[in-house]
Amino acid sequence: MIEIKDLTFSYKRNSILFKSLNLSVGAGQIHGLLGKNGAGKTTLLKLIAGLQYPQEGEITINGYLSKGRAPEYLSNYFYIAEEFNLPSVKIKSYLNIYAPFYKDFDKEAFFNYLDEFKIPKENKLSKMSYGQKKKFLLSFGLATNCKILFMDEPTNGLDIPSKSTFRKLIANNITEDRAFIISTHQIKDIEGMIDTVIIIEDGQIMFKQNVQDISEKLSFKTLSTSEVSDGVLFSEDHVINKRVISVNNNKEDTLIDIELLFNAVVSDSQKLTQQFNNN
Amino acid sequence: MDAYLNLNRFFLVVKRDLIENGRSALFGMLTVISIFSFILLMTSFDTNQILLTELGNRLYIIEFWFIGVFFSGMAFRDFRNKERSMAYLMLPASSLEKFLSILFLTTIGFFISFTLLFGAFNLLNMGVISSFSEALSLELYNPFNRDVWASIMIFIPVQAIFLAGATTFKKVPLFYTVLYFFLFLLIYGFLATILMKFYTGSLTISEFGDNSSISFYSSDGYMGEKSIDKILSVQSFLFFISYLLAPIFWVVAWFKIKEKEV
Repeated sequence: MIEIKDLTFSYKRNSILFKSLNLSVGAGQIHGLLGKNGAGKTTLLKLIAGLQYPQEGEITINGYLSKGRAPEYLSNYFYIAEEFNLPSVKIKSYLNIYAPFYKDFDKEAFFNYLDEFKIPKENKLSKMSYGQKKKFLLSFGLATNCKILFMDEPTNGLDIPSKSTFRKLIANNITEDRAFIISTHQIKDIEGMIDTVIIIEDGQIMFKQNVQDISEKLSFKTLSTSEVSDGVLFSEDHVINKRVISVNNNKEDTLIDIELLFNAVVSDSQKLTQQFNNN
Repeated sequence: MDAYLNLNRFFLVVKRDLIENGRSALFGMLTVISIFSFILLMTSFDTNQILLTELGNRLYIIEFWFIGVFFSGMAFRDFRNKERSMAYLMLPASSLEKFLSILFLTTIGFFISFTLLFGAFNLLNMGVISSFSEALSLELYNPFNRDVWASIMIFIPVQAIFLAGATTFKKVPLFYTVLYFFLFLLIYGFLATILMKFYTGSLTISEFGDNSSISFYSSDGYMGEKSIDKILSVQSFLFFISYLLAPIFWVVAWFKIKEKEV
């Protein structure tokens, strides 16, 4: 679905953000794009969306070059940016203006999503709060039935009930021919929802694994300090205990702690990736 | 071809631009037209029909230029805000469709909406004025006259220049376009004068001779006569250059938009 080949990109000439980055993203999955501040998550999303142009390499989505920004290509994805602008019109006017650009737009579903998020349909967009606007955009993005939905910090500004509604809607709407890419710092908000974990660090994809593979290969536990043995791949203090990642030799079914996984990858990615390369 | 220009998508973009910006544009036009109409009302009670029509013409031209230049000079405001420009870029339409929509709205769209609004206000004014004076009759303003058309023909290249300015300058484009426009006029006037002198040997046309020549005088006295055909050919050339300006600057604006997208 999305193919990134030898991508090189920099904002400044002497500070390269991505150098020969390669990434392949498939359909039918929810991808979590994680990285530290300034790692380039938003830039990578913008590059895929064709909002930035690579200096070298190419990005294609379903055969379309992203930088070509052909109308057909643009109508096949929807990008929910962290900071966005909505026109000063009512929800129905927005729908009237923008929905016809997306050939598979589902109006009924859109109003259902608004109901789920408890957004009044008569609202004027400029009078809504940041969180409400975000929920409106999420509803619109899902209703477009686009093949790819990019979400940059989608849970920022959402209240607690809305976060669970968000998780429910995302999980219910993923289909075999669609891909959702969520870039976020709020790891807890997407835990248990994503299918693939992608971690960017130092201009490279440091880690990209399917959640199922992670579960099979690694085990995540909270142990007392005395229980921590030598076979641990990574450990981190957690109140009076330690959170540890170890090789899942016993095929235990543990819940993936994405925050811990992220910290492990950032501190020593080789140790972890070796576990996946071994078989 | 469909990837570059699709009529259905083009009209969707026009609809978007109209709904999102129509209200503020309408409010701007109404403000300017009301102010001028009020001035017309206050100064026209003692006038006659011919003067009133003439005044209507003048007002139409002044307001048309004032609002038209403002709209064109402030077009493409999406590019002056990061979030707005992202929304603009992600709109599923081609760059050409987005550009043509703005071009259409700042030329034909503006002409139609302004003329209708002006006509309505003018009718209202005439109604009030004629109710105070029996000598005046209620007439619908007709913009289809020589003066107005001549003015619109000059407006078109100016509109193109201001549209190109709107795509070139990120901050206060109207101000910078006015500045550069006057610089351009100076250079253009200078070149036109040089051209005229090159062909005729004089900068001033002093009197017409017979039907085929014009007498020229310099400060030192009579310089002789030049063929009218020769002068007309110079004027035609200048006229041609003027009307070439519009497409040239529209193309410049289009390339500037493409550059900004990158």
